[in-house]
Amino acid sequence: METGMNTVISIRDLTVSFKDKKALSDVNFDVMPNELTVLVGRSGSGKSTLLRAVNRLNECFEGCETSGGISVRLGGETLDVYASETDPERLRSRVGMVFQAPNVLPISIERNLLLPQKLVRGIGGARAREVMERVLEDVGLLDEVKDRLKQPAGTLSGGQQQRLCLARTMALEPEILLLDEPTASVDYKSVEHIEQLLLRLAPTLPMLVVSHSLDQTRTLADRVILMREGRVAGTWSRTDHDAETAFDELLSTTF
Amino acid sequence: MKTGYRLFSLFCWACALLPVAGVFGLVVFLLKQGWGGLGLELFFGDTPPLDAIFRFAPVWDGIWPACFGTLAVTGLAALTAIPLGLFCGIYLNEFPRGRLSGILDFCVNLLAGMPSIIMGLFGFALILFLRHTLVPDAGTGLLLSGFCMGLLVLPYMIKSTQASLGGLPEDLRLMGTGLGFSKSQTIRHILLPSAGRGIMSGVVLSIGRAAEDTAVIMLTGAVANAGLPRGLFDNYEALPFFIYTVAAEYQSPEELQHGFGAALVLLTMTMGLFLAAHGLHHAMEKRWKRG
Amino acid sequence: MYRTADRRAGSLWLLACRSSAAVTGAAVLAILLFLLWFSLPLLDADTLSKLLSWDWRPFHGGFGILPMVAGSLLLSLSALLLAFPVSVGICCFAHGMGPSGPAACLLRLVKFMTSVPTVVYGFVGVFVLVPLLREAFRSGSGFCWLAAAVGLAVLILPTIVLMLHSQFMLIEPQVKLTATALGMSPAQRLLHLVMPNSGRGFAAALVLGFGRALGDTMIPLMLAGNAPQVPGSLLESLRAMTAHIALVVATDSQSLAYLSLFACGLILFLSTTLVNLGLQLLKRPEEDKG
Repeated sequence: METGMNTVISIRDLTVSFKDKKALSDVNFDVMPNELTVLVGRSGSGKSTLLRAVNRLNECFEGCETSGGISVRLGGETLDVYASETDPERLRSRVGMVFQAPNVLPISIERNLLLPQKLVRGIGGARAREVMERVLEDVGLLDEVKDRLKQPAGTLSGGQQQRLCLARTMALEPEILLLDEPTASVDYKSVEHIEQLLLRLAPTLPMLVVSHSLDQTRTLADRVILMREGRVAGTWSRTDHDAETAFDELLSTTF
Repeated sequence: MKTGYRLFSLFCWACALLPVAGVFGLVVFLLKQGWGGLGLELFFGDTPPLDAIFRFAPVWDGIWPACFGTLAVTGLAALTAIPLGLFCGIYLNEFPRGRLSGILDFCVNLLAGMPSIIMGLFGFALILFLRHTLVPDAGTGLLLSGFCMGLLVLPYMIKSTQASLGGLPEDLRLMGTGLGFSKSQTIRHILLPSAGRGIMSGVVLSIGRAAEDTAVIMLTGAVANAGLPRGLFDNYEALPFFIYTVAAEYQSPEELQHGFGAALVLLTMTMGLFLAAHGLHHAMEKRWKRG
Repeated sequence: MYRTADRRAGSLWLLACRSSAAVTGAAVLAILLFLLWFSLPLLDADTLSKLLSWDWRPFHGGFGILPMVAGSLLLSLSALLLAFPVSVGICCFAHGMGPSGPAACLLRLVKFMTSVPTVVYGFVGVFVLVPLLREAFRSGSGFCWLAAAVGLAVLILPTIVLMLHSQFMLIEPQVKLTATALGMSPAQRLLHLVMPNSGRGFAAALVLGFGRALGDTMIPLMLAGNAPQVPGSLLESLRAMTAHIALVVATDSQSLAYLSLFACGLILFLSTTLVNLGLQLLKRPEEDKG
């Protein structure tokens, strides 16, 4: 496994357990820049736990024990995620996460986008609004919500909410994006929007996506990592030889 | 802005320390002052304990009469409130009747929020009324206190019965219907046994509340010196009232010590009952939470 | 055979349930009726004006209960003023500002505080707080507004904390993980997301705490001094309506004195009803939203 200066996320011997029940065991892999990496696997194989290990969100759950190491490359520097000097809040502001189910904040649409900017990055006023409009445009929501920005975010449909969550994460200008089945509970039109956006961002924004859909994996992935029972069970890269057949083989064992 | 958050954090920590300091301070203070007086003399003075308990020998210098009075009032209150509260709670939870239930619910809430002195005033008014009409020599006493105290704790009983029955999984009711049970059979044979622990917790809570209240008994029969009550219509002594009178007008260091001792006894009693209620409630939740 | 016997038992049960409900409703009605019956003499304008005065000197013909009404209000509001900020601090500590282990213990401790009888609080207050105030301020006997306010604040603290806690629990689950993933600190989450959205819960906690403070008898009785006056300062004595009832019943007096009891009782009953109505109103719109 190359640990070149290139890797954006580097995971070494990662083991995570919750109250003595192991969720991940000795996971090792790298996420490269300019690549969209997709994590696949059956339910319970540890995909979400792995994602949450990168921004230390597992610590919010009771009885979590993590061993091993993760390092991420942010702003040209390598950062040890689990070092004691690392500030988890700062880390999470630079590593964005989108959850499976839409989780808009119980405030208005525009505040969903403006409040995190103000509190986490200290950006307010006109600049924050510019960013807000830009990210809404990116996720294809601007036309749909521009007349009702002050309404509660809860009045949007599921798909719109999920796009809003993606926009919200993007507004903080993260350097790495973690997405946990971002289109799982979303309507067809929103799926398209989101997938197109991810493909557009992939060259400049390293991403780790968990997916449950064969089609989506086929559309998005430059690299696929298969998880089984908390371990890495296989990898596939688009640049490998025999790409098509190897890919189909890998996916048939998963789905 | 950072300093703002830091100040807020300090504030929260300071506030969190207050109850800790307060509770420990209170308990330590009571123990320190009352420890020396703890013992059989606190309860029985010079009278031999067995005589006092079984042969109702008068106790002059101890808090046994007050303890007995409290036990008696609490017992009467329990007799009133438990069956009444149980059935009312069942009614409210299992037989909702739209508007009527809403009104009854409001009444229960009203009763729950009622200051205890009003309960006492009610009892007092009852006696005044009886004096002017049917029973010219009606007086305050144990029975009246028990009844008013029962009314005071009735809402606790009703609400905990409601909550326990309401917290049971729906499947249990379906199971009853599936077995061909009538509604009341389902309640009797399935729901009540399952909710038993929660209801017990309500019983214990009510008893605790009845034991500690002072305002009700002050107006309905508790006095400073009465010895043991001979009958249901006698005045009597009670622990909380004793504690009050000591604080208001103690006359000797011994009396003061007795006051501290009584406070410790009452506190231990209510704390013990609280822990018991909590334990029962917890056991009930554990049983049904998985459902 | 068993069926019919059981059926009969069943209908007895139904009867028991129905009658208990009836008795409960009747009890509340009875309390109100008795209070009204004994307050009927108030309908006389002359008596009413006698009672609604600021002068309580029963042996000189003064039966004004207004000092007691003012006393109750001042006391309850000041207790609320003391207890509310501390309760918010405690609740925030339990919801992220403090480590999760101690936070759980703190909540358990606060719950445990509800088991302490108010007469014990009063008792400790008499022998700790009152001498403290007497020494610290060197004026008066120490039995004053401040002593009773502190005592009441301690009494209503658990009520407010537990109400706020249940309110926070409604919002926390949705918001906690999201806010953390965005990089917000617990303080930011609590100050900008949880608390601004807990308006209704705050209002309910205030109302509940106020009601509890207004209705307590022992702490005002034991700590406030019981002078039938409107206090000029925190260190002066006052008398609450609840304490007034307890005191006057103990002394055998003329009928106007007794009437003042029922007037106070009526006021207390009315305020309890208002508190309850307020709480109901605060609850209802939330169900619509859901």
